Amino acid sequence: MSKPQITIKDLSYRYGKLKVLEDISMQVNAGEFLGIVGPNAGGKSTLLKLILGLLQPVKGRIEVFDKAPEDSRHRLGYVPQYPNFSRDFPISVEQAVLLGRLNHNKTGWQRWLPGRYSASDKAIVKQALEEVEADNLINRQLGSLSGGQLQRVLLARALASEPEVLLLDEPTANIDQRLESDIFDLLKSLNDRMTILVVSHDVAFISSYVNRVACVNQTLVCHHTDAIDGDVIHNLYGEDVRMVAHKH
Amino acid sequence: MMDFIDALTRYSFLQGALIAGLLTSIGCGVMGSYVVVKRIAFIAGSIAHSVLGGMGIALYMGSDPLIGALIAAIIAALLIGGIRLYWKQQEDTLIGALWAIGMAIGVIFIAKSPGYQSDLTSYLFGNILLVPHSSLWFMAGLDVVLLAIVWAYHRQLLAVVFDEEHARLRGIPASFFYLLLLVMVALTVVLLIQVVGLILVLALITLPAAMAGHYVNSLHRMMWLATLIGMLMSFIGLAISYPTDLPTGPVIVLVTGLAYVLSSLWHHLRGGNA
Repeated sequence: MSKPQITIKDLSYRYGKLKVLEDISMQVNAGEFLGIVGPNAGGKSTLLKLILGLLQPVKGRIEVFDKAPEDSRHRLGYVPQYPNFSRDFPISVEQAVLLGRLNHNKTGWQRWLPGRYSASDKAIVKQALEEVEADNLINRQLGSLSGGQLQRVLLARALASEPEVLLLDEPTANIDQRLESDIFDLLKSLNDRMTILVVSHDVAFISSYVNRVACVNQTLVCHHTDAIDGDVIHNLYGEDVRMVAHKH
Repeated sequence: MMDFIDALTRYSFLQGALIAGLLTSIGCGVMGSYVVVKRIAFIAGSIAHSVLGGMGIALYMGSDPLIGALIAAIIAALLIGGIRLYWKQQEDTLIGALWAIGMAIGVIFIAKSPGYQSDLTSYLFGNILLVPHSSLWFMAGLDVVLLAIVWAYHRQLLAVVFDEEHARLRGIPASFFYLLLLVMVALTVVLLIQVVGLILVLALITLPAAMAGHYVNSLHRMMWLATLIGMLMSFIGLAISYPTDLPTGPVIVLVTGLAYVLSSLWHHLRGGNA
């Protein structure tokens, strides 16, 4: 058995006095497709940001590839729930995705070097856009994209950095429900070559795709997908949630 | 107009003024584009106004006010950058405070400066017609520094103005490049002070770039177009102010403002967002 890619031990986090995560421990192994579910404000997105090293834990530790998150984050790809840029920023899809190639495989002082994108950077960007079926958008302005198209482009930006672990925060929250399964089918095929952690509020939907579910509501409980039933959801959300039965 | 061109060939102070206008347009076009897309006009305004503190102290100590401005601008940029990185909750209050405190320090030191009482309005509103030749070299030098940094680090700077969190995740020293960006904005402010003065700086940093944003769709084209627009506005402003004997800096700002309003209307009518 290989070593886990992500190890979290006794992790706690607060925003000011507000407890968000309390004594969380978990491991993520290579090749997993892990769903992180839980109620709104339960700490799901915070957990991702801690793994990425964007937030520092109040207590406990996180190791990513046996190092601090900051030292391993170049091996991770991240698709945020809300874009951090304004939609009217003057940038083309290609330029935006190329930013995913910045500092590829560069560490330490190399990050300070000036430079330009190489032909292979551009080829990888094109390939990433093809993979998410957005290669026809390459010359479009970012601001002219629909929600679903933008989500694909953000996914391509993450893929362009050739990550070993892909973290996604509610990748289908802002798009048409019809397209939800398209995105998850795509993630399923990406899972052949990378570990995937996906945050979602829709446990019923994702449990047909993922192989393990982490339920986060301040504390964390992990389940294999076969074990998800009404009781689990009831305990997590504190009320009955309509659930579609499905077989694996 | 022909009179103006005729005068331009004969009077070296007019030539100097035109060159000053063209040189500042380069800094404004390039750095203004970053300011507009990153939406930090308020920060640029605060740096511009707090610079008076440095000018006042330099004057009081008998040094060149421009050197005082340069030092104060860089200190203000680093202070504001630090506020944003470490005191995010109070950002707008603190930036506003720095704006006023810097000016207050400047006014007090200028009032107490010994000997020749320098004209406060030339710092506040600039005097492009009195730009000495040594200052033109200083401006050209600042332009070269700005362009060299942008040329070398355009990818990192784009990453930071576009999506800071993503830049950080890509291992870019995002805080460093953000501070560098603010220091470069501060240099641009100093570049502009002699031409339009520190009160009017903000208009020439933001308006040409915002106007360019109506017509182009990438940051580097925005820089080119904003530079050309700035040059044209400087020329027109100078050409109007010379025969009418109006203060040049404010005329340049008004011409630019008018062009911006017309451009926004045109852009809006064509279906874009103003």
